[in-house]
Amino acid sequence: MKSNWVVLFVLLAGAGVLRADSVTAAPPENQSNDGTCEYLFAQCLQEAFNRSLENDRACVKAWCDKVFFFTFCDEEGLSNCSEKAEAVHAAHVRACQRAFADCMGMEVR
Amino acid sequence: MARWLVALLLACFGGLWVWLAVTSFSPSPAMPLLGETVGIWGEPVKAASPTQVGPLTRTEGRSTQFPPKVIVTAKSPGAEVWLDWENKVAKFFSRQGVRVFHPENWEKEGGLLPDGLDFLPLSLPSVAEVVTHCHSWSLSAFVAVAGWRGCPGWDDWADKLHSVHPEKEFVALGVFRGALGNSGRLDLNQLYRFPVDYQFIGGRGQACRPGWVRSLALQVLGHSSGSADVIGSTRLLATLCVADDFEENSWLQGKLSRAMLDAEPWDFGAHPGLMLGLGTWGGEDASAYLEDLRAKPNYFGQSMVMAWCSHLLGSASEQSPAYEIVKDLSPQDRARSAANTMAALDAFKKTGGKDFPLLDLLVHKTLNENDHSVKAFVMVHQLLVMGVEPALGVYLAEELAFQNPDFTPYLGMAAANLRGRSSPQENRLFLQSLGQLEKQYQGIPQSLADIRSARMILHADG
Repeated sequence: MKSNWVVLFVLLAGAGVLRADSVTAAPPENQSNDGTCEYLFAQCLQEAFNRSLENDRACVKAWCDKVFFFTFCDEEGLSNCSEKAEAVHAAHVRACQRAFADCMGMEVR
Repeated sequence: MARWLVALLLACFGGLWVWLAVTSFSPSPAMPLLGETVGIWGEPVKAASPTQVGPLTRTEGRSTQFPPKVIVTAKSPGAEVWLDWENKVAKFFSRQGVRVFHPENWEKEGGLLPDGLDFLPLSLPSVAEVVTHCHSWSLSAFVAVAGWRGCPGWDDWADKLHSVHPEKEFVALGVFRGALGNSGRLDLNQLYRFPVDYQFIGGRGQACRPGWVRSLALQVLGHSSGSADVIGSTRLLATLCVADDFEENSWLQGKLSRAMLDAEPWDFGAHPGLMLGLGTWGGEDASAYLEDLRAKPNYFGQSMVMAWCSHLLGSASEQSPAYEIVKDLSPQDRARSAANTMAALDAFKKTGGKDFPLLDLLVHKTLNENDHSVKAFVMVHQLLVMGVEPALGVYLAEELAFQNPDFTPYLGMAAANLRGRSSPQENRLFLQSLGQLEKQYQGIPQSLADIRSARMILHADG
């Protein structure tokens, strides 16, 4: 059951990554010199970060239980889930960079 | 009857609890959270609203004068030493993957050496402290340490070193193998970042070879004679290798004094070596000097100086309680690592950014692949994007990328932070690292794309 939730969460997070381009892909025109691209980049990174925190929390909720003052985790499950969450974060950061490059009129080969 | 029923229910409940705890989960006792407002189980981690985020933080006020002008006030008042930054200092250190900083307001601050200080003997065992305390500058210390293999006390040092930096002994001895080459002569040009597959040379129980160590150390010293083509810390620490006959050897004494005078202030590797000598033998003068240094406002290498002062003087007035908590976090504590990292950085900010031992510890933990108690993505984001300590963030992003291709996306964040700064040398160091990474990750298209993307971002005109 937990695994299903984790898969669902990873998929949702992945979908979020796909949406990441749309967050910053359309900067205002002719603003690459006034810091707008940097601002959008920072905004995108912040969204990626916030989502990663949520994903991290979701992993803990999926693989750990709290009993009184103690936390019991399925370490392997938590480790795998955290790795996936970090991969999602990396993908999101990449998307932010791509959007930033687009905004700056760069073509990354 | 009712009493029996209640007892039976309690027994069932207790049994169920024990069964759940023992069979379903690996117990991992919860560590105390660092901050009241941050936690996974309680109040959610507070994430900043995107609308509150400003442009990427840039460090202001960096000196743009190269090469920096160094005024040595202690031994030769008024003397000016000009160093070829690009070709000698920066290149040497960048090969080690160490970011090189240069001083702000150096001319205003004056020299680092106190007047009247003329003789600074150093002691061998204390170098173990150097190695275990600092992470990013210690390549030259490793040269010294590697030479102690098999000497009395080596096992203790090795255990300490290994417990703090499991990967470092490994790398250090790789340096030796690579640097010695076929001729057996130490080639400083071969001192660069070594891949992780370097092997130990020999093992424990190896014979103590002080003569061999001395020979190597003298090569280091000889290499640097008359010119500043090797960084001061190398000379300082190499000198330590021959300290057993230091007092009888006036030539070495002169070398050490010279090295002390030449200790470049932006070389944060030189500070610990310098302070080691001061702290070990300098008595009250050294304490006063260290206190004075600690009181100075912003200068590069300050984090190392602060960490070292705290260590030497045993008075960590700037240290927050979070240091001890972070130190005690279990390396396997994944469950709260994000929250604890956020809280620890929050604690760092609350000290006015002065609890450098805490920051140093967090970086150590982030770079330790076996320690999961600190989240790398949180560290990088907070340091770079939120501007907690951007220069360190760039360094951390590079180091993480060298460790693992999964971390190469952070290079773009680092590049964006560096972009627009008026320090072409600093950018060039970053580009050199990107070049090394490109070679390292040939065959991993995703990482190569990240590296190229970072290069483009750095070069973008904006």
